[in-house]
Amino acid sequence: MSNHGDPPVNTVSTEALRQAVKQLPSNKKIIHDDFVYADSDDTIQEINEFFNYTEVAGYSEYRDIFQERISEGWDTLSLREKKSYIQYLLNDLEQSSAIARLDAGKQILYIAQGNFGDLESFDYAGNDVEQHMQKIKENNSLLQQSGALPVVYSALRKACEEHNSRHLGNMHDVNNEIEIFLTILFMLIETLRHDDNLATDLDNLDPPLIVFLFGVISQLREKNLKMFPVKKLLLVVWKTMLVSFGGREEIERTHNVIRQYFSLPEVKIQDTITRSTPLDLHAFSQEIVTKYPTYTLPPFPGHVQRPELIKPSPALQTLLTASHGSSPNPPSLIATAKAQGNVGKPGTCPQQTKRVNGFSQNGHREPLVLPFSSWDMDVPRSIQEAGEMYTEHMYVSLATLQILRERERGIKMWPMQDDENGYEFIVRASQHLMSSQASEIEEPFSSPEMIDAFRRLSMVESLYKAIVPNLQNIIIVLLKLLLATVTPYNGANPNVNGHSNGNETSQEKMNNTSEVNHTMKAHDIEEANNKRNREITSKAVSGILLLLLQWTKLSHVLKFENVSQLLVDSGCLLLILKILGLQDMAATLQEQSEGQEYSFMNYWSRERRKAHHTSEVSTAPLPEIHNQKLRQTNWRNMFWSINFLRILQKLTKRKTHRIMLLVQYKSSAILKRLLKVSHPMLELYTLKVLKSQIPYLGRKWRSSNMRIITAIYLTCRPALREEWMTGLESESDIEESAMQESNLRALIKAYHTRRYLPTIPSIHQRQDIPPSALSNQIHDAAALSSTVTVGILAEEQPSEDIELDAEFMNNYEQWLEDEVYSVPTSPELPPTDALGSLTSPPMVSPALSDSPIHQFYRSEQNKAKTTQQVSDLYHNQLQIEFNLHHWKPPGDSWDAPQRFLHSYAINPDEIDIDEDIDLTKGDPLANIDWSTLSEEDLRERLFKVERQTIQRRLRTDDESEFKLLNTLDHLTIENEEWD
Amino acid sequence: MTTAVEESTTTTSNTPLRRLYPGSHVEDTFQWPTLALDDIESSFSVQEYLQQLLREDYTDIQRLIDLPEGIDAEIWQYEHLRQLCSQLNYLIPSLDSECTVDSCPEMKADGWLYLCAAHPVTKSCPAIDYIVHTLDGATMLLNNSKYFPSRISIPEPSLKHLQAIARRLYRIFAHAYFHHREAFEFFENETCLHSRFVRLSKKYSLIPKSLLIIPRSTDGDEPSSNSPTSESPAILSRRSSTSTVQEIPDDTDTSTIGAEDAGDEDQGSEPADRVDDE
Repeated sequence: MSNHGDPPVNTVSTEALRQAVKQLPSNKKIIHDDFVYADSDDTIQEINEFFNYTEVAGYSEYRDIFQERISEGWDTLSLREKKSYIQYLLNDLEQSSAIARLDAGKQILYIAQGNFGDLESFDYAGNDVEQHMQKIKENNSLLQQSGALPVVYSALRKACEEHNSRHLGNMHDVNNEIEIFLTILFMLIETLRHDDNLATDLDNLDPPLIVFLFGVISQLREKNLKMFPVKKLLLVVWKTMLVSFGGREEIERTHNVIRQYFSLPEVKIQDTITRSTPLDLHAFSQEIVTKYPTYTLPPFPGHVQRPELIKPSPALQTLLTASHGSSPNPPSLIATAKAQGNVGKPGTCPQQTKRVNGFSQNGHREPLVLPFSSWDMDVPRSIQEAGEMYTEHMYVSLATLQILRERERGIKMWPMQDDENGYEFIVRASQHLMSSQASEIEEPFSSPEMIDAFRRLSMVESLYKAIVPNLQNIIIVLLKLLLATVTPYNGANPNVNGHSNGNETSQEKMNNTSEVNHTMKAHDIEEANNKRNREITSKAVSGILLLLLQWTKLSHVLKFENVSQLLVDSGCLLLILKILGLQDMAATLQEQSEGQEYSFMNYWSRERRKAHHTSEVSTAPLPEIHNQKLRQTNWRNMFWSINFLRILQKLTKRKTHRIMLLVQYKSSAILKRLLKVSHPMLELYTLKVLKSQIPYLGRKWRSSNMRIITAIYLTCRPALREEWMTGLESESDIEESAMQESNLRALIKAYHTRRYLPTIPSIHQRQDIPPSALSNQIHDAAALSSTVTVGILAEEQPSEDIELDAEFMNNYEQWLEDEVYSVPTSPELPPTDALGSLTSPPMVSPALSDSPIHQFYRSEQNKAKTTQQVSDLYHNQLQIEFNLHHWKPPGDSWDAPQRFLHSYAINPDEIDIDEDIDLTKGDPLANIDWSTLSEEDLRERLFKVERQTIQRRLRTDDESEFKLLNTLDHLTIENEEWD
Repeated sequence: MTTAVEESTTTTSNTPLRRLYPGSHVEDTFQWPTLALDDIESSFSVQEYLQQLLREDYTDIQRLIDLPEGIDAEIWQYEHLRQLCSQLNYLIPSLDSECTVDSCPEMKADGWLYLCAAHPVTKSCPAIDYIVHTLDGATMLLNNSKYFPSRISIPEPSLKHLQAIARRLYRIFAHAYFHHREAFEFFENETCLHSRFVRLSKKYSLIPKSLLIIPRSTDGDEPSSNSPTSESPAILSRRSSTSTVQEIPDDTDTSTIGAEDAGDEDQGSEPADRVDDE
């Protein structure tokens, strides 16, 4: 830079310099303290977001239609007249003519939108957007009182049905209809979200709205998504979930109610300093017991049985761990990473082999005797204190309880009861109580909070029941939609950045000129619209997923595990990381969307004013109050960022296997970048996810990222026993994590088979997604690719699997031979239900299984064989029974086991073989004309039946039944002194 | 045999039980004395009272729909609708012979074509099916304890169901009137059900007037004033011109909305009975 001709530097005024600096992109970190995380944005914003910029102007058509019909202002009509007209329109909605329905729908929509075109009813002195909002609320309230919800809902159902059945032809009309009805529903639900009447109405719909909407989502998989109003659908689903189930407050309340129901103490999040879980306690006790065998744990709330007391039978154990071959301790379910696996295995505790100076290498086996330490019961006081601390801060999560129960159920083979989530029963019982107006009976279930909680949970249950066969599809659709929001970013990324940095100034510039000149080119509007839509879709999907996870967890943890497993298997982790990683989050969270004057409320406000002040030049500036410009934070982006982080954390919490996936995807870099944004909640969740990965990131990373570690210490609530700093990755972790995962899947499968089997067509017939074998995921580095392909995460390594298969195949047959087709001697036989669920290897998510194991399992040959064997068994018995003259007692009856213990011994001569009882000849009862049989005939038949029944009972091969049939004849009194 | 009707179960009360005893003859049934509403001691007192009124004179519609003292308007509407559903069943056998899948493949009522809402997805049922489904659906809804748990009060969210039920039941009358006139007339002579229903709906705003497409001159009791009858042929002419619903010219409609109220005010014979449910 030559300074020859330039004026000397000191003539540049400081003012000019300051201005110049301001123009530069600001490096200052913006503190997003104007963002408060909530269930949803404020209503006006939500309504604005629902409508595309490009379609806002189109609603003038609806206004015109409406104003043709009602030439007097809507607001001048009396309440009765309004209701009357609404009912007239609702009547039209039940017409079979699509034109009539469309017409009525448009008018109802106009009403729901607050009849924005009625110029006279607005007072332009004040804020007319607020007034508009007021009218929207009133109108929607009126609509709801007139019973619009059920009628619009059935019209929507019909439209969707038509959409399904029409593959070609004019989809435009049908899509238009669907869009209109969805919009009406959205307006109703969003404005009346906090109204109890609406909630009741929603509950009474049949099928429940949320079930239907999820059904539509799952059908979207096969359809062409182009013209379908997907964004609107997602927004409606999200809002419906918020109403039907509830938001954060309701989750907390319901959580406490359920804990109360299961006699667990309430949870107060703010008060807890630290927590320990029963598994921690168990691990601790195991460790200590090796050193101090006399140590007993202090008593702790007894409703949680110690996991180790419920041991599976050897057969079951082998089954569960067949493919791993490692000896299971009480199978780690949600085990903390290392403590469980390393206990009792000498030499595998790296941290313990490094000893403090002066003590032996194997000193962990011997008690450490320190001078002046007090001992109680041969155990140092410090150990006892530790035990006490564990029990004091014990937090038994509902999840733990549920999993333990499920495990117990499987092991002890409790009879199939469909009970414990008997929320349905309780809801009905409580409704009955309320309706019969029982006077103050002290029922434990009649408190309103309980009833409310159970109502919500029964809603969750009914939703889950209905969607569980389609869950795979639904998740794929949702993730695909998310993917669609990401991919444009790849190319447009630099543009986005460039825009956002200069965004604030350009926005201001635009606003200054906007009053006068609204020429935003159509192309720009569309672009801004598309960008905004992507953000809105992300927001909706993140809301849906988070709510789904949260509520299924409340209902039963295994539902939650199922959903999260499907998500993980479909590649959700990677997708979320991509979303968070491929854009400059700091910028994204700050940027404002352009074109806000084209949002619904603003546009119509402006149009109204234009029409109102046709000649005057308005001196007051157009109120752009609901412009996002005034906010620093982009609410939408912040919302979904936090949601995705929360989802990530929920999916990977305490699941070593998944955490290792995260490590593999190099998520730490992405998360580090996220930390640059300064918002407490965002930071908290980022740090939580990072914290779980730290043991696997290596020393180097730790030493170079001490800042993050400090931040974690400061922000995250510690567990009582924190291993994340001390532990390091070890080989046993990987095995253990795989085992953990497979146990979990077995449990999930058992649970779902028990409860939902009749509704699932066939768990094993899904061939949608190529499998993601567990162990391969960890070892296969090729899983990392820069393109996101949902569902294909790892290449199958067939060789490894085949080996497993062969081994398992042998086991399977052998096991079947031993345990099913011979006499069962032990009561610990694993239950064989219809699908023999426990006989299949619990390695892979059943829905995704396509591996050789399952192919074998599904093969016709196998099925036929099994069926054949069963039927042979049956026929054998029949043969024995009815072909008695062929049967000879084995050997001399004196030596042979006493099979006939009573004088009911069969005299073969007495049997009339000629009678038509031989089943091979067909139904013995077929040709009998009952009316003509004489009394003697009947009596004889009766006797025959009676005799043969007794004989059949006595002739049983089952030795266990001898106990029932034996008389006391064979018992002798041994003690001769007994008189 | 007549003594079978009268029986007292307790020594303290002498009122005969208002029951039908097995084995009684038709002539002897319902012979118990007339009681005022308050005197009926039963959990279904309103229903019994209504039925008593009907037995006394089923043609005196005004008396029938008058709200008795001490009863909520909603309960009265509810009981009337129940009674209506019960009586409307008698229309079906007479329609059954005429209204077949071939004769009326769709539920038409003079230009309006309706979809049957009793299915998971609304479908276009033949008229006789539509009538049966709707009537059954309405009956089940009225009997459903989730929506109508008690006979003494109706929860607020269930009120809109009354209007939906009335709207749908009206279509049955409409179809019968326009397509099976003789059956309709015969039935109407027997029971005066239609006029009762229309007067009830008008009084309690169950159905918007623009939907009452059957010309009101069929109401025996009502003095037909100009505006209602001028309004209904207007609607009729619009409807019958095409088979699908077309846009309603706004002047007629606004005039009907304005005129209806004005027209109703003219019926000075019953000003006191207008129940304003606003």
